[in-house]
Amino acid sequence: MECNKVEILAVKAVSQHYYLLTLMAPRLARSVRPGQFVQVRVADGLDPLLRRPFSVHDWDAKQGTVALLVQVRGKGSKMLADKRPGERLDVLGPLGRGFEISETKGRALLVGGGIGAAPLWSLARQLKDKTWDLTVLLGASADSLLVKAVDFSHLANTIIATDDGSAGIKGKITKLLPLAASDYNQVYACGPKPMLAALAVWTKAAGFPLQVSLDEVMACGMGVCLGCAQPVKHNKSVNYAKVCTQGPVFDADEVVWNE
Amino acid sequence: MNSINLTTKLGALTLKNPVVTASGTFGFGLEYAQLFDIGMLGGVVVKGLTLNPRPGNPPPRIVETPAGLLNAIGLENPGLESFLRDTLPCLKEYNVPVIVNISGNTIDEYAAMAAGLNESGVQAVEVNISCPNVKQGGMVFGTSPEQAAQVTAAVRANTALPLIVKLSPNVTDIVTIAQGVAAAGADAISLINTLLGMAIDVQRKRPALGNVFGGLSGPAVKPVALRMVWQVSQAVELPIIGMGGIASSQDALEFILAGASAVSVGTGNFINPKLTVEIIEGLAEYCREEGINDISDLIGAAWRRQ
Repeated sequence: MECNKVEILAVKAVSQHYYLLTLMAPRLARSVRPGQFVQVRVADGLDPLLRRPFSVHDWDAKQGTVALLVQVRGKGSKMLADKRPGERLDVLGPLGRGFEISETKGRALLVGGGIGAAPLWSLARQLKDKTWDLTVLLGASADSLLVKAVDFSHLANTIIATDDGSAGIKGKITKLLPLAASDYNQVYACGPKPMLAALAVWTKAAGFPLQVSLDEVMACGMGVCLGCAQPVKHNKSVNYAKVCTQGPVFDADEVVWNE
Repeated sequence: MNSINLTTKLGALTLKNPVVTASGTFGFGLEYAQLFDIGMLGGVVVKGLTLNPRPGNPPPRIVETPAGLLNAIGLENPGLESFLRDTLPCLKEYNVPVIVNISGNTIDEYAAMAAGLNESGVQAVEVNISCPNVKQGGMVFGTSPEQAAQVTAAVRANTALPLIVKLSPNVTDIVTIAQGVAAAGADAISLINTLLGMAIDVQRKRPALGNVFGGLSGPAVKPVALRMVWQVSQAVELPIIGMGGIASSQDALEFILAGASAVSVGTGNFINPKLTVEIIEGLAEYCREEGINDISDLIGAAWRRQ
């Protein structure tokens, strides 16, 4: 883990709502793993005050670059989208526990809801490198909110759903599950909690192991503030886990979904 | 060039510089030790402990406000015994004074915790009578002059360690509370804990925090904290650890000039994990520029100059 000011190489609008921020961060690029995240200070001032957590979307260890996919949602993300190449950005990371990838190849299903598809790209690349067979489901409320910074179809059979039908099949992403029916050695998912909860029910019934990446508001990102509490099952009791250090990736069986 | 003397005293406790960490914002110190040598700090005030483990409050636990942070963690902690057994031995490796922040549901619990720390090798106890996020204890003790004094006296009777009492700003007259704990045997006072506040989520049309209310910290509270340090330092003959929104060495200097003998960095650690060491460097730099050899010459200088 490091906290450094790194140079912004590029800020590229990849759709109406998403920006791709490419950073020159060699040490981060060498150490980060799929599903880990960074905490970014969006401005030198004190409002907005807190750093913003972003999953690492992509990286190139040889080039020393790291890419973050930013959805413009509020003041902080808008300030990030307005950054220009050459500016420096204060980045803390890599943080958290990423996706676990078995060395034994198999079949994996990756399910990404909205910006939740961002960390799945680097995961898909690594799984493909290990010659896993992949199916990817992408969903969003509308076409403009689908993550298109990358083309998953180069790596995997990719099926899309949108709530309004503006791209792919009309309906929730969970509607795609019967279309993706197969035997999976591992299911990975990131997206809104209701989507993850529905997926947990489906995978449990099918007997597939599911790893989910959770998104919680956090201040420190390193296990100190205890702000990002997530109820998890531990033996027969329920405890709070820290999403920043014990996650953001959890086994779905651990997570208490009916909060 | 003469070296600058940054040492400061909190009763019998001497710190090599006046910068410590605020409880709840620095974990047990080990997390930040991954980023810098925490042995450089004046002291580490650990995450608030209770006699028994506490799970904390249901999420959402934090909300950002303009230049501030609302939290309702609810004193989640592993309990005193686990800290002493599992964490303190690691923390001792860093050669930094350890100040243990304690909370209790009852006066007896405070007393028991103080007694439990006597032989542990920690350097001081900070008594938290000001947490706004727990239903029992916490701020209840800190808003009553009588109860604040009773808790202080009970801890005093059970420990010879330097005793720091952390006060709540959620009171009408902070000076009266400070005088009460001073008379009851405190060696120093921490000012301030968080200010009670709330935020509403307009999308969900309900309070943004699971606990409804939370404690406001960060730069937004600095003027209130500074005012209280100014008032108490002139009314009470005890050293003060000033805290509340310190985000730079400039902020730290304001607290020292207002009467603080040490400063504590809280929410600022989340924004800049290396802020504490930058403040230590900034204080030394200021002294060099101003031709001051001993930082203690600055304590309360602003009110002495009125």
